[in-house]
Amino acid sequence: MTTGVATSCPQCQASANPSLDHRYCEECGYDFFPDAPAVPPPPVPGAPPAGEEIGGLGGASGVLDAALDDIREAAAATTVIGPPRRPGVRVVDVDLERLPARCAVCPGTIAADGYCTECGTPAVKPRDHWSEQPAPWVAMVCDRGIRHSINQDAGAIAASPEPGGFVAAVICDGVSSAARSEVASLAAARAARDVLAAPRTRGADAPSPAPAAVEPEATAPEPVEPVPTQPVPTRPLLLGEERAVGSSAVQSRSSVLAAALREAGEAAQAQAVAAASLPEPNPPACTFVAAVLDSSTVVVGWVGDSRAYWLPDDGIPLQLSTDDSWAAEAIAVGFSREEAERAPQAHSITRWLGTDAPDAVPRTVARRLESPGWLLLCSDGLWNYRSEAADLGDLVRTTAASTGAEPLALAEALVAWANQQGGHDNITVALARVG
Amino acid sequence: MAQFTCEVFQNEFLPDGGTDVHAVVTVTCTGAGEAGQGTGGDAAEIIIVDTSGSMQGDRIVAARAGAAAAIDQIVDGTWFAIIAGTDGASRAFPYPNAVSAMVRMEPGARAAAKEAVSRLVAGGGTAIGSWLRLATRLFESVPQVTQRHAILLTDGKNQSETPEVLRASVREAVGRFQCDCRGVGADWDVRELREVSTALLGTVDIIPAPHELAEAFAGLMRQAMGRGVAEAQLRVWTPQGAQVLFVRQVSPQVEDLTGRRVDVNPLTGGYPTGAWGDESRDYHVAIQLAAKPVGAEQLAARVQLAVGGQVVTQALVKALWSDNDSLTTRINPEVAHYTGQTELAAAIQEGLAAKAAGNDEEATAKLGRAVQLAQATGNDEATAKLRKVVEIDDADGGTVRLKRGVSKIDEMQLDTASTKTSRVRR
Repeated sequence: MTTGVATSCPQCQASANPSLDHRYCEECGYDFFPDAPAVPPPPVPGAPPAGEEIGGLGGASGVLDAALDDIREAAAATTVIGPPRRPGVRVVDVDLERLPARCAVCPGTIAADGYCTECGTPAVKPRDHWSEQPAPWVAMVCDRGIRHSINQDAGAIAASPEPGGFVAAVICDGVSSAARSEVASLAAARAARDVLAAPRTRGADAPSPAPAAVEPEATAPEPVEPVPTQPVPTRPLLLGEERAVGSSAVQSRSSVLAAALREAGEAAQAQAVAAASLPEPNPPACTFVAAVLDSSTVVVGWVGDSRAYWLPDDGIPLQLSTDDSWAAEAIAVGFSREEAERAPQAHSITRWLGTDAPDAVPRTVARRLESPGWLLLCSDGLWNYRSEAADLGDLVRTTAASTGAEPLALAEALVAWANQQGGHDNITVALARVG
Repeated sequence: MAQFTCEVFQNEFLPDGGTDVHAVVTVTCTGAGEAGQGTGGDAAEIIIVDTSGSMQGDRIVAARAGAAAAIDQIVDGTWFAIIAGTDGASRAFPYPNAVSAMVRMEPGARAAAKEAVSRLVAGGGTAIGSWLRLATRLFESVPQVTQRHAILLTDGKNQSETPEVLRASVREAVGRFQCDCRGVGADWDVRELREVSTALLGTVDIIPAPHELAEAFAGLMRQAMGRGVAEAQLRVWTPQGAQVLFVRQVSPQVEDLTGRRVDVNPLTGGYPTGAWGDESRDYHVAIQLAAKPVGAEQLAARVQLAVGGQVVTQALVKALWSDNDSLTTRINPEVAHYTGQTELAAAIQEGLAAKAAGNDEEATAKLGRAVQLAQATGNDEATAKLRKVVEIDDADGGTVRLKRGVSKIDEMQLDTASTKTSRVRR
């Protein structure tokens, strides 16, 4: 038994008492024992025991399970060493080009021509439906939906193994009226995730951490945590060091996260711009919503109408983001939500990422998550069917009641539900189980 | 080495509730080489010449010249024989007393065979079924041969045996050899000979005057020798629960293949296509699917060509259900063109049959429709041949009058040409 020795984290200098039972730095997630065997993560409430097959979606047959196995195999086979990560933080980059071996709807196999040998159903292209689950307490599912022929949504998620520790989730919804928006959205989401999942140091020449904009949440029954103005540090500052700097370490952490989020927004914007080729009338464009949760503090940033919600188990569901959309602006000037969302231009977004973006800097809000619940990010392919936070909260609760609280199964079930409602748009859902 | 490619033409969009998928698949062969010269096995040719009494005079002289011209085109190494047909069939070459039923072409055999055909004499009846039965037996004597083809010449109707006997002989020959049929003069029956050529994956045509015979026979044999791929099978895979409505060859001529299906596996039907040279053939396939929701996609068919049991090329026929009318109401030009050409062939044949039966009203309606279709699909050859049979008052409207005193030859030329299609102008 390794005896813990009081020391400080080599990455963030936070005081630490590492042992195999306290293997990761509580501040930054640094793995004190990188050579030690991986510890099975603690079970997620409601999740089936390890080794037991997660049941088919909505009681589907073994065929679906087989298809899910394929997806998992593909995911396991394609975990890649990418850019630097915070210690312990994992990502799963699914190879979205690879065709699955088996048909998703019948016992047939997929021929080299991309269609089932028995029923002629096209292979589920990974780009049309894929999931990421870097840790058992989080999941992201991205789906083409029914009505659209291509999936221009994208999502990416990184997480530390310990539940409720660190998660960075990003969803980008490609603007369908522009070409190659599916390229922009995927590159943007993955780039933003990589920035958020990178070891956080702020260079001396980095812009001062502007306080996370406090977005007054009109519908919020609880006040969103105000982020105070802070003394600007003049030397490189490590995440987790706030405790030494300010009296309010949590508030200062949210500033750091907000800065990281804006940096992630910049990286996403750079990818969205890079997706454009020659000057073109409709360059690729996408929305952006990202959440980074670190030690119970969440910061959410967005551009456009993809959303982040906080859905506490006991408490009032809350929409953390505020759409950059015609409808949201109409609501802000006094229209009812129903009226505004029924208008033909309701879905016109007023901000987006891309070469022709008027303003690509994410607006951010921060919040301390004190109670157990779900942090949920989604594109309008889901929230179109349950726009109000309370309604979406009900949906998640009732869905979890039948599928259980395993995040991947729940995210898949929410996507399946949106498809049952018509699947009019691409659907992306990212979930993190908090508490 | 022969190379096959294919290309599909279709509108893959179906409306909500739509079930029928139509596609035209063009299969092209290049680098076929010569018959029997590849590694696939030997080739064999039989020339069947009508030597019935009606052939006396110009015709038998022309038939001798035609057979000789065809012999000249047979590539050395090819197994061959000549059959003289009357109310029975006899082997004109190799001579009846020869040990082998067929011999390989070489200069000596060529000279001997030409000598043999120069001695053909006319006399007796016409029993085409007996000619085919002898051909089947001769081909059986050379089992190492993988490519078997015959040219059949007649000038009369099958008067010396019953239609049942002819049909039985054709059935026996199906799958054993291909046969191109030619009729000289105007005294033979197009429908009778078309049944033979269709079943035996060949063509039927008229040789109006005896002096045209030699050139026609030389051309036929040249074409046969240019088919270096002995046999290929068109395959149509359809998904579980789907129905093949029809499979037609639509170019260079209309040929309904639907009834020739053999199961390759439960989802795949195989249709014989005979030998291939450097050429393109178009196939029209129609598949019925169960309707799927708007937004769904399904593969409606894999259309493949298999040579020696191996799939060498494949086209995908797709179905995509959409609620976008501007997509689902589009008609693919190739599908429309060949749908029209198939209807054109039927209208000509039915019109001529009605005319022969003395039903002028129906004949006028059918041939009027044929004129309209030939005009709409740009089939100028059909229009020119129709013009010899009817007076055209309004081609677009299909208004025609039957001509009086039309020559039998003109009618037969229209009939034999009815299945020849024009290609889509691209």
